[in-house]
Amino acid sequence: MGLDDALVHVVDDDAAIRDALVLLLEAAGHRAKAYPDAPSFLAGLDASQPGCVLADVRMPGMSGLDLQRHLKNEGVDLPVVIITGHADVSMAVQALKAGASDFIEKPFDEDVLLDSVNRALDSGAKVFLERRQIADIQTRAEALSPREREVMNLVVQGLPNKAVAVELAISARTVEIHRARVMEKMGANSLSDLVRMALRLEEGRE
Amino acid sequence: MKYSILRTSLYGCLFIAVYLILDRLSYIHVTFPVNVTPWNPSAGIGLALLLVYGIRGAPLLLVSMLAADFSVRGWPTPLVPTVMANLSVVIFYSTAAQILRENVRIDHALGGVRHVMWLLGSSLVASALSAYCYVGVFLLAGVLPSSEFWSATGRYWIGDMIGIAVFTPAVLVFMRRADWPPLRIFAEILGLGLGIAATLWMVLIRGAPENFQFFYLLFLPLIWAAVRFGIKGAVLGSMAAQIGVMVVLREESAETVTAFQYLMLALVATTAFLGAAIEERRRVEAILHARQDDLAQVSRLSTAGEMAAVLAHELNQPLLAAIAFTRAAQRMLAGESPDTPKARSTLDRAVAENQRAAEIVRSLRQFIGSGPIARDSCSMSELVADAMALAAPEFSRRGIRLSTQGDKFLPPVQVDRIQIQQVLLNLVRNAMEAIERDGDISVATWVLDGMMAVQVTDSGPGVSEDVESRLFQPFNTSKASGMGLGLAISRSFVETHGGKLWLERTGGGRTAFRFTLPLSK
Repeated sequence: MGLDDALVHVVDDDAAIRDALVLLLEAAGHRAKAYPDAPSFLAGLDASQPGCVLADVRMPGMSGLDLQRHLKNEGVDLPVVIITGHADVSMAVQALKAGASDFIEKPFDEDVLLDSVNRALDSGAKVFLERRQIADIQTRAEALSPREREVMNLVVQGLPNKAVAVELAISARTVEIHRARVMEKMGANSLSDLVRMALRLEEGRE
Repeated sequence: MKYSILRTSLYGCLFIAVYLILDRLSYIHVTFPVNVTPWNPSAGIGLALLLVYGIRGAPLLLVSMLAADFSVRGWPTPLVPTVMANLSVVIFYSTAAQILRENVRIDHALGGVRHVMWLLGSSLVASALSAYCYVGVFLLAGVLPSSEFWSATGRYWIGDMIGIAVFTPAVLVFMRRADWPPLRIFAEILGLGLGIAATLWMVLIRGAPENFQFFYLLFLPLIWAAVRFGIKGAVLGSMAAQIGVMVVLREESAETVTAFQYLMLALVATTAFLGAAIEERRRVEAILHARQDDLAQVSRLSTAGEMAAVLAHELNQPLLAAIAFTRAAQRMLAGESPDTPKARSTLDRAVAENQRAAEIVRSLRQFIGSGPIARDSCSMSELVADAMALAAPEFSRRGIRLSTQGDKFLPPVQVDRIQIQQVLLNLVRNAMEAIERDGDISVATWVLDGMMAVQVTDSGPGVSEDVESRLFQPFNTSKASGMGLGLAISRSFVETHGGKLWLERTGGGRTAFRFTLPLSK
């Protein structure tokens, strides 16, 4: 699944606004889908798909802020753009503090909307690529044998081959062979490349 | 016309028939050759007739009285004194009724202590004068011995008085469309009836009638009736008690009955006063309730600013949708292959959203009332008091003193109560927010150049010239919250009334807003 599949999820309880935003986004070349409330959006959500969320702050039941909090708690990193009314600026500030990508004030014109959506999609794309890279590294790391992984962990800590050999009670020659296999399996060009990958793996685990 | 003559004569005959029946039923305990008995319900319905129909009822009453003398008593006295005696009675009661109708403007529902007092007081005088003249005429005519004058006068008086005290209020109260009580309180009414009957039994049968030691027990069921059912309960209860008393005492001597009637008069009068007082209280409570509803409506709008925030939200929805539909349509039409049908239907939806916005504005206009507004004659000091009552809790919380100044007797103003309360409330709240804590606000009212002037003055920091120039512009606010619409809307309210609202420059660093309103014509 690629970046071209990025989807803008429009969540608003006002049917006219919902339809209008979807039409406008589509006319501007985006893929967009509308939901009348937060639960129906969450029900059909595919977290692996790139995109962003455009949600009204005022909705009966689950508000836009509630939705954003929920996504964060669930570890879904879709950027959320909050739509506010005139009197809801304090809510918007709250949303930004809680990590919303942006907020736009009703009524807005297309440039405001499209700018905000594009920014959200960009940051969503970055996250998406990042996530895909981590997933790649993870797949490669899974191909390592237990011994190779041990060697990698010690090497990226900056230990020389000899120290690794002492640590694992094997010969330096064997370490050298394992190390070459690790570089090959992980697709690393240099030691620094391997170190970066190991850090990514750690991040992904967190 | 013919129909109304027919109806009038039918009612006349009906009255005579009822009069004759009551006269016959009460023609007991007769000790004199004339119509002097210790209870006289026909006098009660006679006075009621005069109160309802005025002087026009007088001939009918005279005819009824003569007919009763003829049919019930077989015309025992000579013609001239009989007619003269009855005529004097009719004249006194007609005069009393006329005074009650024209001068006192008595409320036929007797919904107040004042009305009961006037009714009983004037019938007391009228029946005393009637008794004096009625008995006097027969004395002069030689029908009665002079030794009997005072006892006959006293008996006539108490007979008429108790008849009036019991029957006149009953007729008056129930002639107005009687709204019958719901079924569930019939049980209570039945209980009341039984209570009266049981008490009568205690008073009159167990205790001997000639000693009245148990009489005060009768107060209990009648007070119950009055407290529960107001003036209606009082008059019905009194009538039941009086009829019961007469049924039980029908065999007793006229002296005993007469003495008893004095007690009954005290009882009936007390009950009537109590019933009227209860009625009055209920009415005041009802007025109070209505006023509270009015106030609730004002506080629903609370401040125009809050309303404007709601309005902004409501308008933003269709505006946003309309913009987005239009922009989408533009994009559909741009480029190599314009999708005209889709753009058209999208534009249709944009138009629909614009109409939705227009509808909101229309309903708002009706809500604020720049269309026809209801204007009543209101007391300015009441309007001020109402607005103060609404703001009072917040004032005491902020430690702000509030005072009102102005003439106690101001002419009424012709205004829409809700709107003007809104203006007052808005000015007072602005003043309060300017002061923030610990200060004072005064509201003064007086008549200025044929208009009512109202001024709200506060001890706040005042208004700078820069702010003053933009004071009445919508969406201009110095407050952290609010839409800045309060003064703009207030001014528009006052101006639709034909008044003005402005910032009054006063010395001493106090801020004063003043507005004027037209007086009632």
